[in-house]
Amino acid sequence: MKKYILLFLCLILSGCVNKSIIDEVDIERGVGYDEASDNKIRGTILLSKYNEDGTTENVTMTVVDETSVNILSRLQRQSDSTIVYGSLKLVIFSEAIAKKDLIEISDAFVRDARLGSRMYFVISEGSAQKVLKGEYGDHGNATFISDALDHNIKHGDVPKTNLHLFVYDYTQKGRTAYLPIIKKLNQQRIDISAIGLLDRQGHLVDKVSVKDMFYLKLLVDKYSGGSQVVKLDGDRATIRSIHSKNKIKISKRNPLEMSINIKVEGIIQEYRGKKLTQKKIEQFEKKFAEEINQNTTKLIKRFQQLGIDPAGLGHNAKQQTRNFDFKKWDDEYKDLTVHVKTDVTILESGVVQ
Amino acid sequence: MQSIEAQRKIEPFIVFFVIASTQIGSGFLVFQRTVAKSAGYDAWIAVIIAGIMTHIVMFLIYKMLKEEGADLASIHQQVFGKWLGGLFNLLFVGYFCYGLLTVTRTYIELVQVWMFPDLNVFLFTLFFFVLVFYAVNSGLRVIGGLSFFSIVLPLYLIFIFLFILPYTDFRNFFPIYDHSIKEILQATKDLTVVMIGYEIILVFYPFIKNGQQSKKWAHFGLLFTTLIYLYTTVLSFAFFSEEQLKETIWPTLSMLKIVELPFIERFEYIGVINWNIIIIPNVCIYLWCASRLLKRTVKIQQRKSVVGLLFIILLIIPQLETRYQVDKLDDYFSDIGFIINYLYIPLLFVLLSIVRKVKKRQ
Repeated sequence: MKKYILLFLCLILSGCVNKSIIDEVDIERGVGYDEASDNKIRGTILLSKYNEDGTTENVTMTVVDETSVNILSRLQRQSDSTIVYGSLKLVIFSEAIAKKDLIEISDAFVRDARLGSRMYFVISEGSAQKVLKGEYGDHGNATFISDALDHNIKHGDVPKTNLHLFVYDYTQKGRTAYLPIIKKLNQQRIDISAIGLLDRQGHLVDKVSVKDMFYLKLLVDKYSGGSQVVKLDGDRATIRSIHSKNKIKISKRNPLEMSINIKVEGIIQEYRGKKLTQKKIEQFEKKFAEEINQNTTKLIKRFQQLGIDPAGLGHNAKQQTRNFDFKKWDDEYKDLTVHVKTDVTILESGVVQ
Repeated sequence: MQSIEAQRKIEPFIVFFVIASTQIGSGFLVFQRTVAKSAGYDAWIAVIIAGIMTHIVMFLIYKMLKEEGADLASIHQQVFGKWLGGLFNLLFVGYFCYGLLTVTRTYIELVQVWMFPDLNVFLFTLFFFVLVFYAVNSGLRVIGGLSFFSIVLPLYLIFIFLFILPYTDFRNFFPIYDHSIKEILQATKDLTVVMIGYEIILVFYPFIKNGQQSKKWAHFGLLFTTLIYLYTTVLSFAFFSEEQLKETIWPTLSMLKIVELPFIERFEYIGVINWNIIIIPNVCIYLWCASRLLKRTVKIQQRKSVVGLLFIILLIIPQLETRYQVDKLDDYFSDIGFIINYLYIPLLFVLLSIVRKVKKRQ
């Protein structure tokens, strides 16, 4: 008798929820937003179809609508199988969208419990649809682009980013958000061409080019990896940073002054010139520190003029001040004096002298 | 009063698990938002104060229970007499049922939002209650065992939270004590009601072997939950910005969204399912206490009242449909819980000591 009851229960219980069989659904891996006429949005979704021979086919579908949420429901109607989006990895905004409605669109991604907070938000130079329509790598476009970002964050010059960090930076008072910008080079390749800086309203206002990305990362992030060439009287060394820290402090009050202490530990990867002596290494350390000071100071000046704060100076000032007044801070920030002090240590210079 | 046979009693150390499992319920997933609204990044101080408050109340409870065979019903009878005492007993029955209702409904909402939006609430509750009935029907010892597993099994989640460390900034806590005392006390109040549930010991105390020996275990249980609460508070405050915290309804689960392991891409689903294990003893103990109090007051057989109460709540739960209603349900439970734990129990303590003193003189 008990067995039959159990069997009966299994029958009812299995009917309780919707099932989705992986072969019978379309898996949305990426989505892109472009501007369309009449203030509408052109949404493109990227589906990954996993073939029997192990390859991944990229399928894109495009539709134009007023809101970003409608786009998926309209696409559902055009598809023969349900589109599931739980493993969405990549959201691309065109520059035009990033200047306008990025935050409105991003609400849907934060609100939905099905989505992970590790997905990447990126801005594309040119149309997002075009980027999604490439054929990059063997594992599908979304995987390719997110892997490219992954390893550039770990070993390259791209500061740490994902959906959670983006929202964190955007919502934290005294901080503004940044997003990586990608560019389609050709049908098979993409490039991370810049870092886009957003203002407090979440609109794209500035871009930091590849040349300055290293310095930006020093300011906003715990940094490791990435290399920079330092020239010194005709000699040239490529220094690879393996670890860095920054400390942002209020150094003086009334009028407010702040200081940023950057500590870089690196190794010499490549050297061209006369014999590399200890003295030479020390000279290189000094020269590198100077370059970092100059370039980061320049970047900060630029941020101040635009009224953005990706380095989180305001947030840091708040941590060091009781009853911090953000209104007053907004006035002070533009003319704030910021001293950058860098300390470079070269740990090793390879296996030869 | 008939005495309780030894084989129906629980070991003193099980009290640790029962107390901890009733305190870690559905509130554990949501408390950061409310406290952050009151005291921002300073709310972790409130966790400690609220923890101390629970210890004080627990101390009072054990003082009240010092007399041989005392429980809530006998205390009520001593203080208020038979009729009024019985009325207060019934109020407590209502409170426990309300707790049972809140815990179950908030858990179902969690499943609806995070996993199955089209879940059939009635069916889910029905099967869940069959399980609860099965446990409660087998007695307090089984509930004690369930509590043990509901603490030990999900303990690994503590380590899972460490995966968020690369995304945290512990400098968020500075400057410490940037909010006024009033704001911190408000956060303390919000927290004390999240950490309620331990008052059930008033009902099942006679079922503990060598009652007073369990005192230290009860306090250990409170300390354990305080530390767990503190741990999640600190991690979630370092992880979210203040604005984010105020908008995130289930911060504890949202934190798990960032965890990605090679064999499992998203961890919050595991968290939601695990939470079922955590709330089962929670629901069971409320139900057991309600039916026990009923038995002590109006002499209904416990088995019958369990079925009756479950049936009533089963009918109520599907009527609560929206987030707003569930939220209100939670709010009222918090208010009632606060009144009972931090106003009524100390008052009862004072009254009881007066009554006992008067009796001694006579």
